[in-house]
Parts: sequence; structure tokens; C-alpha cells
Amino acid sequence: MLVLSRKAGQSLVIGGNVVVTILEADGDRVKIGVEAPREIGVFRGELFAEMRYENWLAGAAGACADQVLLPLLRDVQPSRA
Amino acid sequence: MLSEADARSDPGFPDEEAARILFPDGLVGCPDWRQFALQPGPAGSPVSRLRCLSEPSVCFVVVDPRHVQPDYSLAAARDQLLDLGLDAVEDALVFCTLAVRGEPPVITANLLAPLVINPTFRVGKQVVLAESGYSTRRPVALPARSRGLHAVQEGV
Repeated sequence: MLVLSRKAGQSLVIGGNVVVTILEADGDRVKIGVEAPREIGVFRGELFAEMRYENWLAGAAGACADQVLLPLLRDVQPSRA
Repeated sequence: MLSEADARSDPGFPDEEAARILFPDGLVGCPDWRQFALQPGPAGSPVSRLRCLSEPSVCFVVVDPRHVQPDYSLAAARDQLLDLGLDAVEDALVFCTLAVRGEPPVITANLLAPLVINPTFRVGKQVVLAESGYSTRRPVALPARSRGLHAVQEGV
């Protein structure tokens, strides 16, 4: 991991098109501004961790879907047959 | 690539109906999951399977999120869709992944981070509806209560 110190008003650039600026530092709270291309999603790290976990959970559930997920779904879905 | 053995062991999802989809950036937190095969679900079911060809232990059961929430909208992610090359957002195939959690087990849908596919180019992207209020784990059925027919009919 790259570690570097920045002061309020200073920034760093990622990949040539993402600029992260430290707007304000107040104790343990830091206000950050992000400029990125519109098609790049920017979201909090907690959300990233939650989505990664959810992808693993869903990917595992689907891999054994015949045993658990699809029977469960059949039980709760109205049959169109 | 799906093997013949896979197709034989899984008659509900014949290999020849699989469509290859590339997610150039992988999925959120899983950047290596790039190649997928989209396969129809069991007859009469709204679900499909999205089998990961890059990571064989991974397969998703997916459904159009409008089956879970009829007024579902991608509006919060419109900008993230720019690099899919869609003429109109309405042209996209939109899926949310399903997971099983809890005891008794409940099926949940990830409405926060849907998989959006351009069916023309066969490319996809997992977008994040960060400020939408959608959940990663929205229950889609309540099997413990009543074997849930009502619960799902309300949701569909």
C-alpha cells in the first residue's frame, strides 16, 4: 500500500483521471473531495466491503443452487407450469 | 467454457443456450470475475443463471430486480452506465443476484449493486446505486411464515 502525507488543500492523482483532494482535516475526521470520470463509481469503503461479501455469498449460493436456492425459490414462487 | 459434462448434469440449462458476457472490470471487490455465461432458469421461473467462467466455483442465480421491486430504477447509476455503449438504458438487461442467508433460510436480492448488461455487445458491469437507499439483502420471500406464496406474489 502506498502511504503518503498530505495537508489540507493538497491532492493526489490516481490513474491520470481521478483526483483526490484533502479539503479539511479536523482531529480524526478528514473531509475529502473526489473528482473522477462519471462512469467510475465512487463510494465508501464500508459499502465496497459489503458488496464484495454479497458477491461471494451470492456466487456460492448459485453454485449449489440445485440443493438450496432453487428448491427454496420453488417453494415461494407461484408456479407458472 | 462449459463442458459437455456440465450440460449433461444440468438438463435445465442446456449449454447451447448459454450466452457469453464479458464484465471488463470484473465485479465489485472481485475484479477477476470477468467472463460469464448467461443461461435460462428452470421453465416457468423468472430467474436465470450467470455462471462465472473465470472462477468455476462461482455461479449466480439472478432475476430482473423489477420482479422484487416493481418500481426499481437505475437512475442513480445512469452515469456509471456510460461505458456500456447502450443507446438507451431501457435496452439493458438488468439483473440482481440472489443469496440465501439465515435460519430458516431466506432468499435475499442485492438491489444495491445490480448487474447491467448490454445484450448487443455482450458486455456487463456491476453498478452501485450508492445513494438510492436500496439494500444488498432485500428479502424476496418469507418461506418460514407460510411457504410464502403471498409474500412473493406481493413482490412480483
